[in-house]
Amino acid sequence: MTVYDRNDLPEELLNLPDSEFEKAENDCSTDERFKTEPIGFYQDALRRLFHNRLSVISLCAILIIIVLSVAVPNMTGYGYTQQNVKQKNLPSKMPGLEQLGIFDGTRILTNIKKSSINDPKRYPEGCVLEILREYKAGRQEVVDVKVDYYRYCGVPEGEYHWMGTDYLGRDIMTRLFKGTRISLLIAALSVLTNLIIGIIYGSIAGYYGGRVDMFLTHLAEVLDGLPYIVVTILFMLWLGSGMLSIVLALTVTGWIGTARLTRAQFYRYKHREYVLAARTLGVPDRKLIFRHILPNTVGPLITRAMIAVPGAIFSESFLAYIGLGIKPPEPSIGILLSEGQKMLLQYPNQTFFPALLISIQMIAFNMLSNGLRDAMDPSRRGED
Amino acid sequence: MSEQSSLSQPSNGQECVLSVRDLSVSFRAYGGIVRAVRGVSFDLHRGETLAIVGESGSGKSVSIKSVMGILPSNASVDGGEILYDGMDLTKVDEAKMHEIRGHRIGLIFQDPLSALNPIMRVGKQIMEVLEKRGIGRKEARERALSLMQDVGIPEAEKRIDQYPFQFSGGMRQRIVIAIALAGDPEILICDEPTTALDVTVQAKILELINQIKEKRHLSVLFITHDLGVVAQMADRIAVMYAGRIVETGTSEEIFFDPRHPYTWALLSSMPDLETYERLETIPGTPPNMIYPPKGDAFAARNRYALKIDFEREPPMFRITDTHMAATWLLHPKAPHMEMPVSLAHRIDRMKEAAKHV
Amino acid sequence: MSDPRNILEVEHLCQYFTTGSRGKRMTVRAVDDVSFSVRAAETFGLVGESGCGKTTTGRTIIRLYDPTSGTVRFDGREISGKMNRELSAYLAKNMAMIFQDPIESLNPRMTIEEIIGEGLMLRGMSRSEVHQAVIDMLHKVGLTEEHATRYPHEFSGGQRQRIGIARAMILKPRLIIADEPVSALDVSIQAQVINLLNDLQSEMGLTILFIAHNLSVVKYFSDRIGVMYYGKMVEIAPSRELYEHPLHPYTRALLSAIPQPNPLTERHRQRIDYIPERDHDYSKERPEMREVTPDHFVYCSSSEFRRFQSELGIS
Repeated sequence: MTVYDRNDLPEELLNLPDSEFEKAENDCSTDERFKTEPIGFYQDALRRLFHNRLSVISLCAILIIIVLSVAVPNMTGYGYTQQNVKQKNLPSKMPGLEQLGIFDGTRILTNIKKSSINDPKRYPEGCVLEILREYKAGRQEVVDVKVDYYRYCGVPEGEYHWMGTDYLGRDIMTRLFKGTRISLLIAALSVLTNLIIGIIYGSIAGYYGGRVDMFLTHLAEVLDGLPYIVVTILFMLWLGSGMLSIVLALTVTGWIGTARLTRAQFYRYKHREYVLAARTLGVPDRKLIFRHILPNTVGPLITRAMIAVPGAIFSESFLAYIGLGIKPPEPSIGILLSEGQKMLLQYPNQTFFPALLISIQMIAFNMLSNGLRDAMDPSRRGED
Repeated sequence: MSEQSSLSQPSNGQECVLSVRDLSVSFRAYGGIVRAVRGVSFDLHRGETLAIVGESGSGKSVSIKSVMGILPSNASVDGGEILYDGMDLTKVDEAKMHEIRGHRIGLIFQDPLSALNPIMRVGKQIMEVLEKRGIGRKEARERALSLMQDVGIPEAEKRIDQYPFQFSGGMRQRIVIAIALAGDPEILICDEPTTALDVTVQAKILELINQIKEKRHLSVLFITHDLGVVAQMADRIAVMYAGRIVETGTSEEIFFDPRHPYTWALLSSMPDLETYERLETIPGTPPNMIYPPKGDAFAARNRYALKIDFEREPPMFRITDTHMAATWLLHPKAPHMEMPVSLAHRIDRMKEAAKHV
Repeated sequence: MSDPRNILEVEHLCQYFTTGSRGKRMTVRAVDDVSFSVRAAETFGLVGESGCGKTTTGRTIIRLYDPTSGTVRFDGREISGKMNRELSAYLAKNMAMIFQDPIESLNPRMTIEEIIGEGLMLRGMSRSEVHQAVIDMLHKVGLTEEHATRYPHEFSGGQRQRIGIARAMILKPRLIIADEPVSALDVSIQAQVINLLNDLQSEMGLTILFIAHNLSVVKYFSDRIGVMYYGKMVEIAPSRELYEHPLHPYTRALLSAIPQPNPLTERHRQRIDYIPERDHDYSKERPEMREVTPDHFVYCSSSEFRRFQSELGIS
């Protein structure tokens, strides 16, 4: 850094024009004007959400799954309860991909009497594609063959089951997306009821505090102690198995977490100076809760609700898996999984697709809720 | 005009222990690059207290953090050097820096609670530093005790085994000072050490820092925004605004003969116990350092701004051997401008008061 | 203490907080038998260090807390009794508060117009009336119409504090309780806010209860000052008198500790310590608030009282 002596300035500085040294007209009475547009909290949060690539991908995945679950069951041409005992346990066959040798509706049959291959009654014309191995079992000549299973079962040409069929010959894709629709509906309903009950309960406990809070908190603790499998069974006995009893079962203890979170948020915000300021203005309790405190707790609550969705889907699947799900033949992802699991080794496609879909859903919802949490973090307001 | 003249030459024969030259630091932030420090130079002489004064965002804390090598990860030193003991601290590796921090340069933060480990006995925290220097356990405890006595903690014997939460704010700050002293440093850096404390406690801590400085011949770098504190502590003062030093001089020069309009504004904007007239204010708010303004960063808020202030950044002008200010008002062609009347009055009053001491 | 000049009278106000569970209950006497009065259109400063109860006193007066005991009268009406809708409306109409933290004290989800206009909306004014009133108020505190649609996070600390002042002032209260309104601000911004408060006070004829720990600011801003120490009021005097003749040893310690921006005097300043056990002997005499000279009250025992009087040259 250079320091200049006032009496010994270099030419360049000394010869600055005199006019430069006039006093400037400097009106400094006003505040700096804003350069940006005003932006509301939710706009701001959304903008940040869309800057996060993972969240966008997750959101797209969720939307696609929702659209598919509405559209697919009506598009496959099969009913979700439509059985066909002749076409049971078909492997998956997808148009286009079949050319590549995957999902082409073929299956390898082992230990087949060599003589029976030529019996057109059992093996219709052209269904045997390739003999993989010939060997002897005892005195019998047996072979392993790769067959076009669709032709083998007598499925008409041009008919496709993209994900195959189950043990009753029902189209798995139809059932999977029908099941997803039901699972999502159950999840949405249970999360919504949990949110409503939890927010009201937690708000009251958190806002009023003291004895009210103590009573409500203890009550919630007692409810939380109930084993929810038992509760579910009781609801099944009382209301019969179905969507209502599952939603109720997921609600009995599900709201407690939301209530705790809301209560904690209220404790955090109710002594904030802006809440105190509103109280000194004479703002009534109801407005304090809904206008001043609750909106600030929305971030964590939405995040929590988002995380709860895959949790509910998973719980529903779990209940279905252990046989407490909705009534057959109504499908759900859990029912498909539990049916598929029985034949996992022979027909892995029956487990693979439901498992894939539930995994995608869970990852997507978790990612999205992470993104939402970051986007709604009030300490990051105004950031890009 | 030699480039470095008075900056590196000890002004009155004093030895220079730390020298910062043309330091520039920036932060990557959302929305752009924040130019937090834009070419700051200062020297710290042995045995003196240099106070860096500025408002939040002036870059005073960032400058000090770069000296200590504790800049956050999104910050980078863009240029300049920090010379200490023949080394350039901007280029020293982390292991070496760690050693310097522990031994040679002690640091006292604003918030004593966050500077202490809450689950570790205070004695242990002092001993840790001592043991790192190769002092045996037993002796370390002895020394920790005497350090605690040095910083004025009563009943040190009893309190050495207590936890930070058992101490009041002022006592915690004393512990932090003891930890800083445990490395037997030659430089003590104080970053707003009393801002979080009450006035009566603040007075005692400041007194303690002054005592320790005398006793151990420390050089102190003192960061604060409080001019009252500066008056009590500083031998020399550097006033920072928007990432630059705008005026530097001895304590007397800055308080009794300020030259930069920002220093004028700073001095006259706070009431003292004898202020009755309307306060001078600095209008507006400090500039956004993502877009440093053209010319003098203070121009937009400056009632004494010249046309050139909006065009070109003023260079440092020397007023005396120790006193420098970066304002075009010091250029020979500049019109003569008086400091605000209320400030002139106040300075007269202060000089008057000084006669009665 | 029924001086007709008084607009606010606080008598024997106590505010205790209990903490801990039934086993070991602790009572914190945040405000302990505090009495003072504030005259119409004056600024009464309340100083003390953290934990002395000055903020609690302010908040109890405006009924953010229910007082443990004691009475508070505003304009002759008792406002420390049972809370009901009518009293709440009365308080909201006559008093407002300015808070310390410019970030914390504005709701981040509301626009500036919503924040400032909320009190008016509650009083049933129409949206357009509120809008006009908010714009007028914004101009008064040096902001512009453009700022009304913005959210708090876009403003600097000083601007936010001015918004807080606008929110308090728009209801045209008679008493403002300003709780450390400048201590979180930068030096250059503090002066803006102090000047603004000064202007608004003289323009609107306000009474201000100014709570702060910075004695220089309180001294500059207040007509009379009350000094608090651990929940007790220890000295009340006109500000100049308090500065020239501090009597209570705590006040003296506090005054001696204020750093002054004068390097020549500051280096030789003698600090005074306050150690209650050393400075008072209350074993025989009970201390109480006594008027040493007109308008200058000190919490002292009768022997201290005589000593103070002789120090001031009164016998």
